[in-house]
Amino acid sequence: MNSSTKIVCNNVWKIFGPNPEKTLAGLDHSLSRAEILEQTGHVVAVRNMSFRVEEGETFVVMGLSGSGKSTLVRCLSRLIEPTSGEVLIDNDDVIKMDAAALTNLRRTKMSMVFQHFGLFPHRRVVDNIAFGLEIRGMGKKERTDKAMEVLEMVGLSGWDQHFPRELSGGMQQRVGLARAMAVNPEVLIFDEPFSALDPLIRREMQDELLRLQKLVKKTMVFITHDFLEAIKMGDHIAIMKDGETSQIGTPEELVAEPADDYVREFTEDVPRYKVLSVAKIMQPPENVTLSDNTTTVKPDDKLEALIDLVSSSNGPLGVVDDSGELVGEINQAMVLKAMNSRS
Amino acid sequence: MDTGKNRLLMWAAIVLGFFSSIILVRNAGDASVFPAFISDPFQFSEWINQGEDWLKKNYRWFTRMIAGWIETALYTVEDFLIESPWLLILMLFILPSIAYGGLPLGLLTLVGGLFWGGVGMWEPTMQTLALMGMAVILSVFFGILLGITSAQSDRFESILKPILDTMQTMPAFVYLLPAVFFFGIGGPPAIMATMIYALPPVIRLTNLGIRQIPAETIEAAHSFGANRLQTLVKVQLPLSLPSIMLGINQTIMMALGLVVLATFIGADGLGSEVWKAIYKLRVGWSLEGGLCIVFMAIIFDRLSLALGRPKPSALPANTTRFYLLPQSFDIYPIAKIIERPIGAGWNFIAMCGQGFTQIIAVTLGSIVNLFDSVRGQAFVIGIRRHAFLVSSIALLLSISIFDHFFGIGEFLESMQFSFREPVDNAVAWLTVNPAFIAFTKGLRALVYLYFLHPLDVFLTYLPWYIVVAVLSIVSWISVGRNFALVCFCLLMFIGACDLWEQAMLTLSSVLVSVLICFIIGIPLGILSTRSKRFDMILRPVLDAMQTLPSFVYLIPVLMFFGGNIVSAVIATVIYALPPVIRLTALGIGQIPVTYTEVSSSFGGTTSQTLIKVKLPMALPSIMLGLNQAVMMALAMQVVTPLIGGVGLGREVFNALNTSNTGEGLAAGIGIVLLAIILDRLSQAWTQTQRDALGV
Repeated sequence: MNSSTKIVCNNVWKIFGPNPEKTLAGLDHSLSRAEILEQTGHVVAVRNMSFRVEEGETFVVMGLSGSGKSTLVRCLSRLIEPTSGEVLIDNDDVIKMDAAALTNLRRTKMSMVFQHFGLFPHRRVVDNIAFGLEIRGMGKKERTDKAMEVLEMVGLSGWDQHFPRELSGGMQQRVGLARAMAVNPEVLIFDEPFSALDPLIRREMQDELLRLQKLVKKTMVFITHDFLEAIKMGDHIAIMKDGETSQIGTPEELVAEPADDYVREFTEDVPRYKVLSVAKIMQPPENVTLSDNTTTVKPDDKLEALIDLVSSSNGPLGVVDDSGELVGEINQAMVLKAMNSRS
Repeated sequence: MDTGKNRLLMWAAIVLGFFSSIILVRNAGDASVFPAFISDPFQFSEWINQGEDWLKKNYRWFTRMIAGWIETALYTVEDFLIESPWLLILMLFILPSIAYGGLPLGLLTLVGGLFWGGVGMWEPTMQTLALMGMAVILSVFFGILLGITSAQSDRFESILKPILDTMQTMPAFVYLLPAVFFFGIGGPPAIMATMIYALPPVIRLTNLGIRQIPAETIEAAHSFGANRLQTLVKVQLPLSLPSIMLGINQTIMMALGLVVLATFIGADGLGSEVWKAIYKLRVGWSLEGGLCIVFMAIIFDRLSLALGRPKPSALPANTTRFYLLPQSFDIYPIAKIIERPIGAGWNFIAMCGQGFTQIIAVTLGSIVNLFDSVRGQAFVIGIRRHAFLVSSIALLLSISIFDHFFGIGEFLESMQFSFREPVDNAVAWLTVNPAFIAFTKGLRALVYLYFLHPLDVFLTYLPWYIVVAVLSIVSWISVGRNFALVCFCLLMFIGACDLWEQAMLTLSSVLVSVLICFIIGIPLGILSTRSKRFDMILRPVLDAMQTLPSFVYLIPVLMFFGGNIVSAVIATVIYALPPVIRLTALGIGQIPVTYTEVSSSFGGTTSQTLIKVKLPMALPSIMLGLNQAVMMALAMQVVTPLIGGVGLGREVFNALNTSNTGEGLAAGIGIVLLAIILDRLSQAWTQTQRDALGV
């Protein structure tokens, strides 16, 4: 296992019903979720999920409602007990932890941001943010100072003495975010954090989170049902359907090579020039040679950034990697073709 | 289920039973007697008395010990309340009233307190208060504990829920009987009974309050590593506090109702004052006692509701204008004349309080400042924020100090006002007034001759097996076979205890009372949906009526109608009326406007709309009113013997007076069994109506 791998999930199952273990043991794996429900009366919420999350990256789990994504992330911190499988965080198996170790994990290593914010209505903003620290047993003065610091980071200084209900939705979720960050966790889990917000506020919050992520560089697991949000936020994306993974990959991989029709359907609305990079569409260099006056681009440039350049040049452009080697070429036709989603 | 066929069967059974019973009644010369071969070997009350003796002999030390603890605590509280200067105690109630309910509630408490002292009932009031306080504290303690447990465990909840359901259908006095059985008579059994009686609402509302917290909020707490205790203390309890406070409010009201009634088992206080007064037919005296109870009920109801609301963060005086009367009265100049001086006076007092706090804050602050300047500043702000608390404590302290040196002592002679004599005189005048005599006599004759007497005779002369058979068959058709069997057994038990005739008398007066309730209540309910003004007047009256203990209703009835069977029915009617009016009005009020519009669009007149559309649609709600009225009427049966009621209630009453636990228990169980049967039947009818409407 890679030393920088933060979270590993191996064959995680979650089955709801009166007797999940027995159902899992006798399960016919060829059956679909609906068939299993009909035959056994059990709901398979998460089906044999495996993935890994590298340190400092944002891992997005994307799926429609009922796909099991919320159940999956709750299995990570055992807010929901998985039926079987292995969840390693820093090589420690969360499933095997006793209550004390689990409490310790939740208090120090991970924290969560909720869809409907999950703010405590009886506590002021500052006390909401300080909640995690208070649970740890930190003194009042210290935790209040820390909370005020985080509050400023999310741009809400001056609101500390208000109650959550006095804040707008966007502001409430900033408090939720601040509460999660106040404990300085190694892993942040977001359960559809922005889906309860207006579209404009949602975009603002996404940008805000990207900005903060550059600042703090935490490992993040991010749940969403919005494919565009997934592409915007994620370094890697897992697409879930009926409790299973359809595909795991970078946004670019998903858009360029969707594994099945289900994934392809999501990618159809995606502005491809924002996702695809040169490396994905280039061809081996045939018509260009490396000379001083050749216009060159880098393999990881997004098409979006090249549109002006490509449209003003007549011939093919050379693609040069970081070591200065010519690795491929692109031309107008190739860019245009790549931007057609039905290709 | 073929409901049409069932209904036909039921009506056929009823009609058949009716005619055959008329024939049987004519032929039989005497009241129906339950056969001796069943009732003779079944000496239930003897067995209970033997059991009590055995218990006394063997476990007395244990019950004595518990009773001893409670007694010690009770006397401590009672001594504190009675021995302390009355002004201090009064302030102890007024200050929180102002802090949480504003000046109007403070004034209400002031008036109530002065009334208690004024009519010379300070001591019994404090005794009732001590009993109620002890019972409520115990109830709340155990109730919250059980509520939390049942919120944590679904299994525990599912065990507890049917128990609570049963507890809440039981009439209050039922709790007194086992208390006497275990603890004898006096204060401790009264507290134990009240504690258990008043337990359900706290348990329910604590459980509900915790369970209705959104799962995400709890998850958020868990996700930060809060353990069970932390989640409970920091999240669940604070969030369910409003719900718990509502439960405490209900508990207080129930406790007051039973503590007053507990005079039957020898508890002191206002209840025993009223009882003594009624016994001696001293109407004025009983009215004073009754009004003391009324004040107590209203003050504690308002105060405990106010405690549950979020507190206004600033000193109440900061509100710009003071209203004593409803704000709609503002157009009348009289409102201003009354309110202005009170408002101004209060503002002055508040100013003094704030000034005083300011002085304290600055003085103490500067002392702290000498050591730590940052703390000093915070200290001053902290004290200022609690201006009300600081000045309250100062006020209480100065009263205590003043009392220590000069002695406030008893309630001032000059402030006493007794209206026993004038009331007694007025009643005496009224009872010799020929017009009034004609009116009461007429009413009495009407109720007795046309309702009560025929039904009494019918039910007591009807052979017991026909009553049993008819009720069992009705149970079978309305509820089901199992309940029919239960109903049969319960009725047989009543008969075997030799209580058949009493049970029939009780049944008859309950049915007559409920019938009259409907005759009066349904038109009033309809009227209140038609006239806003009438509704505005009726609503607070009903509110007040529903907070008062059953006991209180005896007094006005006694005043005007004296003591006899009809008085007992009238008192029952008054007590059981509010739910009938309320639920009729509610049922009609919640019918969507569309239906009324449909009816009038076809040319239906107001009365046609009412009879053909509104009343049928309001029927489920009205049936619920029937259920509640029946249960309340049954609960009243134990109280009405004081003014001439008969039946099982009188048996209970007499047995408690002569400390015959066995007979009291048997008759009490008889009432409970009737309650169970009537409750299930009326609930089933409500459900049938609901199903018919598809609600």
